Amino acid sequence: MQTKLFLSPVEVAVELSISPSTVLRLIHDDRLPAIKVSDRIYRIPVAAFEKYKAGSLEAPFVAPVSGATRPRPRIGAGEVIPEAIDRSARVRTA
Amino acid sequence: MSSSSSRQQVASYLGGLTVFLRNLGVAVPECVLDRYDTGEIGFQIEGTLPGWQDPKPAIVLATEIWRPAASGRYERVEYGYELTDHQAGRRRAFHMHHTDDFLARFGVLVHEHCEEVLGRPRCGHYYGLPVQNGYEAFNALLGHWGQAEPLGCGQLRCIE
Repeated sequence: MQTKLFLSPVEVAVELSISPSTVLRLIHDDRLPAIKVSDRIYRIPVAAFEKYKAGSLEAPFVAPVSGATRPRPRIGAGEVIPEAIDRSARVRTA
Repeated sequence: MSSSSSRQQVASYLGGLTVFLRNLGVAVPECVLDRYDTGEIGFQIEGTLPGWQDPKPAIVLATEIWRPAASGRYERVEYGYELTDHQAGRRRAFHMHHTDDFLARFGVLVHEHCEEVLGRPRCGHYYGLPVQNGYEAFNALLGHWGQAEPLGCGQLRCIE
């Protein structure tokens, strides 16, 4: 059985006994984590809502800096970079 | 994040980005701002999204490389932000790397990846817009998580 992943603002409003507009205000104030599916549609991950209800949302912190150096990661490793097509040559031979 | 930042600011940004994901329910291990043997700094964070876990969960990944600039500050010179949704069988990514090659051949610094069917892209690299930071990237990527609508790869322009 598929576990429910998201709640709509209306569903959260019902759960919290507040209005949907208040839920949207919480989202816009960054007090309730949500994902923006489109310009006007938000979804609240169930896991995020559980954290919110439990008062266990984390506060930002400063990440520690590693003591030792390590090799630099290679972003895009394995990607084949496309070759540019010489379009002028294509026109000349057409 | 501004165009150049102190090491402390990058460390603070990394901590904030990690918490941003965790508060959405994404499982993210402890993060560290790495120092590389090139003199650059950066990080790789990988988060596991809640929900479908078998055979593989949906994954988000962020990698950033920051190069030393003037006055002890750093500039972000490479990035990779990814969403791989194994349940939906698709992938979306924003990349900036091999910039000299992409600039020389196509006049662009950044590119994107889009796979409506995971592992079977219709185009290897797409033109894209620069992503300001990890927050912007994850806001865009997570908008696709668990949604039925297509990624919209067909709307993108292939780099070829």
